[in-house]
Amino acid sequence: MFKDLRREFGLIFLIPKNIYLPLSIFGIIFLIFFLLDFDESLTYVSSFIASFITIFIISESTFKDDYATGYIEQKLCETESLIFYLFAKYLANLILVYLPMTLLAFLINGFNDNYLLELIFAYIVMLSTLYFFFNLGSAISIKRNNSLNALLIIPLLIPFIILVEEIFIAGKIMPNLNFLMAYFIFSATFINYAIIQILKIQSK
Amino acid sequence: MVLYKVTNLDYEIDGRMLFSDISFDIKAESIYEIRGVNGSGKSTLLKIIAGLIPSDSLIPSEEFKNSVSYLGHKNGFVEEITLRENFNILGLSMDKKLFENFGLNKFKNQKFFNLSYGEKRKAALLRVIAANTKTWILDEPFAGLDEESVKAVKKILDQHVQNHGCIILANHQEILATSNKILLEKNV
Repeated sequence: MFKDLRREFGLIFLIPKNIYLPLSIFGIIFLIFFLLDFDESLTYVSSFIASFITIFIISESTFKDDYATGYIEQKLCETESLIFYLFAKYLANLILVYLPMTLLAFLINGFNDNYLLELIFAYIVMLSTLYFFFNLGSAISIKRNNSLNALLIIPLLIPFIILVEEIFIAGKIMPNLNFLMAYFIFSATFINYAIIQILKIQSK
Repeated sequence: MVLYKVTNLDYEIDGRMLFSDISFDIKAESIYEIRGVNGSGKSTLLKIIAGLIPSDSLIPSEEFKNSVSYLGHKNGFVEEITLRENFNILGLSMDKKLFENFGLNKFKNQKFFNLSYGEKRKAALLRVIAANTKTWILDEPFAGLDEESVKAVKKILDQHVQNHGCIILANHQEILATSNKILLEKNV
């Protein structure tokens, strides 16, 4: 577990593009919305679209390098399980990419909402859930290097999109936040289990 | 002590039988060399032993299951960072003497993608050695190595066996004198 955390945090620090690339993509998409002069009520829509596109783009390479260099193959032979590897990857991304991304989104949207803490929490849960789902797409498309395969998982996100819309646009935080949490737990467990099984099949 | 028991192992890819009815035991303190021509299934057999390809014909010993180092065709290192950084993020120590023996001391601070194929391969072997595990599973460990490095690797393999370790390797280059052979083709 500690070894995986050291590797994933080490990699993010040693290859700084892992941090500034997603933040730049996120910022640029926001800037485009700003220049297009979208209605003020659409700010959360803009941040959702920006997050969605950013995570879709960056998650394409989540496992690509580790697969190409044979690291995943080694990991499977030497430790049998990829649970800690996936967890370390998630934690490193959460702290160094998704938390700054959340901060950026709220800096642009403003911190003056009545349910600010709940919204920040919902935003982080939303980013994490998207990350897990797009990682599934990344694992599916790892061999053929075709991000179109990753789009196959988008139908699974329809209930998630409805929940996000209810929380951020309609402003109905409860009970939608609870359902969003349930969706997050589903993705953190079942989706990650599916990712491990797919990576095992791809590494044969 | 038997580490792996293989009984009546068959393997088929896309309707082509790679090998069939193979049985052997792998014991501690020995080197096992899988030999065969190209396409005979050496790497596949190694992957089965390593557990990458599941098979009911293989029974691994629980004791040695968690002390395995595997080196496939790929090296497992991140290309964009230096050799030293690769070892650091994996939490592995860099034995100065071993690096000297392998001629890699001067490349420690080079980005991994700037190393030659043979240098990368030697670095990957050093990772296996530094991991300090009992069983080494190596796919073509001599590929791309110069004569001097081959000698150094052979010496290390012998030392590992003397330290009660076990080595299973696929090899189609020069034969190891002290190994047990697992032949995948009759004409080898």
